[in-house]
Amino acid sequence: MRKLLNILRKDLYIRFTDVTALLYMFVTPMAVSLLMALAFGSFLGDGDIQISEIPVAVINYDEGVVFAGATEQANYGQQFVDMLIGSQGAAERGEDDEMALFFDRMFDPRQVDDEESARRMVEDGDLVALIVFPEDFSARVVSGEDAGVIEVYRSRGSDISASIVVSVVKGYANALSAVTITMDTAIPRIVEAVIRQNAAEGDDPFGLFFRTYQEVWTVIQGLVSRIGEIATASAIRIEDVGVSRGRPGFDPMAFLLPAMAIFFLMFSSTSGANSILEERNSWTLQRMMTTPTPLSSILAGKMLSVFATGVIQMAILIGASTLFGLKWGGNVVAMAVMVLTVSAAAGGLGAAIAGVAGSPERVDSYGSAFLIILGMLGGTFTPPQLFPDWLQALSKLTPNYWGADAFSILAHGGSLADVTTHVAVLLVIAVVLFSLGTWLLDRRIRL
Amino acid sequence: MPPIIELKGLKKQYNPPDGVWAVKGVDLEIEEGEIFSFLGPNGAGKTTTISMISGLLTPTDGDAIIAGHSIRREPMAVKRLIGVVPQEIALYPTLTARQNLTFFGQMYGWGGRSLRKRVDEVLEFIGLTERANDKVKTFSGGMKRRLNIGVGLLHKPRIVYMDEPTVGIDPQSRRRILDTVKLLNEEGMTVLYTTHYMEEAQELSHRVGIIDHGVIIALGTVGELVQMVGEKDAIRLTVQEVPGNLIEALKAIEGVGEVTVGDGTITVMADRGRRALPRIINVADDAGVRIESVKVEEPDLEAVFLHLTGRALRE
Ligand SMILES: Nc1ncnc2c1ncn2[C@@H]1O[C@H](COP(=O)(O)OP(=O)(O)OP(=O)(O)O)[C@@H](O)[C@H]1O
Ligand SMILES: [Mg+2]
Repeated sequence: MRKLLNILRKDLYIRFTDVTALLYMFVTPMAVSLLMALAFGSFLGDGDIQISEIPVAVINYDEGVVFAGATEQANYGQQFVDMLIGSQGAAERGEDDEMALFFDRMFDPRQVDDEESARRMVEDGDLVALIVFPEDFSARVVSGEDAGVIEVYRSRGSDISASIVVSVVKGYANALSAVTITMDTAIPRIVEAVIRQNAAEGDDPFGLFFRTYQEVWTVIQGLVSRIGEIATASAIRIEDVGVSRGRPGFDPMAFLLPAMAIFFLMFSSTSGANSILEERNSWTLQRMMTTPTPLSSILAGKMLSVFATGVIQMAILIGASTLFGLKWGGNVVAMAVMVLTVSAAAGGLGAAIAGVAGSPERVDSYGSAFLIILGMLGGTFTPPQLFPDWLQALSKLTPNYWGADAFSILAHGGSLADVTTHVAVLLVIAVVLFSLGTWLLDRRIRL
Repeated sequence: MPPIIELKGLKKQYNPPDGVWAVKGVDLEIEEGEIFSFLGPNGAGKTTTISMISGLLTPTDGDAIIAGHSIRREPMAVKRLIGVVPQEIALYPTLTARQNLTFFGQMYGWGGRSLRKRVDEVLEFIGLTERANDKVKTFSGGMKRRLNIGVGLLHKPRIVYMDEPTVGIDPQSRRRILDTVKLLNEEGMTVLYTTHYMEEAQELSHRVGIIDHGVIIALGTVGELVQMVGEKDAIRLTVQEVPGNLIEALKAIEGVGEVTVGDGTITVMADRGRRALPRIINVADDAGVRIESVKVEEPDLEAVFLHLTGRALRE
């Protein structure tokens, strides 16, 4: 028993002094959930999985400009309006201009004159954004001072849709300015995703599933690039107005962070169990085996480390996200029970993956692929409520589903009694997989 | 006194029923206080044998009795008596030298002040006191090797197995390790040493077992083994190229036994080598070979291995 604790102490020390491991355990899940929450905030708010037909209005005050020596007037504000409005129906007309098709699908635009009422519509959430081209827009573009100031007045409740509008406007502004712009990669990415979506059309459930998945990631990439742009782009001014349009009392983070935390918990449990195989390769396992310690105690010590690491990871993630204002529900005992059972299930899963894979390289490749599939099925990236029925049934075979669902129930005020099924299912998974995993590992080590 | 280590028909097949027979039946007795060396080329079965008598691998057949305990039936009793220095650097790179020693000390059931004191002693003994609190990953190859040995000595074992403890380090570190082995032996420790450097086996061992393809092909003191070769000397010629007919021509010389070709060298085993030398040089000359250097060596374990197997110990 003392030796079990020695192994536990050693493993925890090694892991919690490993900066890369800590990044994966704590920073990544928080960051990814945050981005996902921004994305889903509008998905769920709109009650819609796909982003399309974003309602936007555009006002063009641009007076245009006449180039020296030219007779024709250039009006870049109008050009944008024509592009946006003119793209509508491009798909029906069978056009093959990618940009037009993208605008057609993404936006439901209208040109307006009354700025006051348009602003009110944004505030009320009837419009996602209002784009305003000022009088001197073209003049500034031509003078080359800067790309001109475009105002975007956007609704705060639909971050993702609004950010697409901003990206598009920015992309246009950048295209106009002569400077080489590296910053706006968001548009090509979104266009690319849309093209891929079109290719995956034919509304089979799998197509739907993967499209959603792709779109979310594309959007995240867009968000990431937006963060990068703030420092460089001064060409447009953005104003946020209006209130959140999210369902009252619904916090997407409360759904997302548990799922994401469990997803990453499984990675760290698997890498913990994998350390048994790594220690076999580096011979420290054999060295332990030459001490008067039964192999069963060594394995038990390693498994205890995997479990304890999981508990600590979950506890810290929950603690830290509470500081950021996330509500996990006030039921501390129920939370503790869930942390323990989820960590046990993840540990069992890690042991089974390591046991089946048999080598650190295979755990890293096949194991990670398996965990990602499990995560997708379990609703880490897409709320399982949006799945077709048969996929929802499949989802219930994953520990991810049961863990995330339980945390979500607790976050919405549930008690331990409401999650007894979840606890039972997770414990069964834990016991079965731990037994399978240690049996396989034992067989692989005992030659 | 019964031997402290006794191997009885020890065999190991990996991945039965079709896998490699790494050890094909080893019988051996080692007396308490001996330094015994296994000398053999890569893949001879040295590590497999050590692993079986350390309780890491279950023998496919046979048994080993260590200080009266069967490795099959009383592995824990055996493990308390032996210290193992694996061929690999079996250390945690992100832990310090002291943390590594402390962890494995705890795994031997030590703790508290006695462990702390012992860790200090071992650090002193392997000359790493000053680097005690540095992470192992910052160590040189020689320092890692020393710590690898230190961990095996921590619990004051009666017997220590050292599996190629000098691989891949500089001459100075190697010297230090060989001296350490002698010192431990003078203090009464029985040492089972494996190597494919014949100089090490020759310098250290009371007795040597030459192992090849999983069997002991010769066993005895260095003197006894060398006698097997008879009066032969090894003549080593360093040459630029080796024409095909040269080997046959050399073998035809009276008194010449085996001739082997290594990387840019030809080794000729000859009775009373010094007398055959002029003839050998003549033959080489006739074949148009430019000899860059000639060395006549007294018979050594290398020659014994060559004599027994027709191969060089290290290709
Ligand atoms: N885990 C294993 N599975 C299958 N075959 C193995 C395994 N370990 C060793 N072998 C094989 O057994 C034979 C003996 O290997 P062993 O490691 O005992 O040799 P060695 O004398 O220690 O060699 P070296 O000097 O290279 O360390 C070799 O043919 C090797 O390929
Ligand atoms: Mg070996």
